Amino acid sequence: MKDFNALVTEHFKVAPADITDSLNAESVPEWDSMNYLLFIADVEKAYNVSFSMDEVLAAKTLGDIRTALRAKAVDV
Amino acid sequence: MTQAEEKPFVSLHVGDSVSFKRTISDDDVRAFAEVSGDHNPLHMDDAYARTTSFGSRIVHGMFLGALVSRLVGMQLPGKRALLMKESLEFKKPVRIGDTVNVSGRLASKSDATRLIEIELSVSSGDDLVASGSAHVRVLE
Repeated sequence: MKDFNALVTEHFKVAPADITDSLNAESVPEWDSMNYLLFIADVEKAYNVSFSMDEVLAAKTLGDIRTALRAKAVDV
Repeated sequence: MTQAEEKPFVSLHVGDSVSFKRTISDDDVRAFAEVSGDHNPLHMDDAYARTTSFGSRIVHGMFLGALVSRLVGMQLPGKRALLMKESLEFKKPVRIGDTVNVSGRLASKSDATRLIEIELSVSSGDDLVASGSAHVRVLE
């Protein structure tokens, strides 16, 4: 199973050493709407969780997505 | 088939599968070469192809990719499809005149993103000639 940071690197082309919770669509060139949806779908699959549409739309940073996962009892 | 099926997102379920067969002709290969611009002699030139390890012309790998486009755009999910990502591994060459069976199985579904992942396989007789996956957004 790919971990969270591996999925970030795969989808947003961010080097592992550069991954921080503050990363967002403005700071990451590869973070466009399509890549974001593909990332979310892979996160759901990797951790066997389902986000709501509201959770997906409300998340603006990687930290927000981690918070949403922790709320589902996922340790990331 | 010229009318795309229409499968709304709510009607799709993990495990749903579709398939179709297609016999690939010389005309198909030449038309694909014109559309794609790939006139590589391995696909186009019998005399050249005979000198290679393949022994005869082979079908463009991405012709199979185009058949995946048909599966997604016409059948699963059909009309509401927006293909976002496709990956294929080409396992064995396909020859002109071969009949391929293209099949897709819905492997996962994300309600939040309206994305489905389809596992793909393309076979010719008993041979698996290509496999991979497609990520498709189902439009509203």
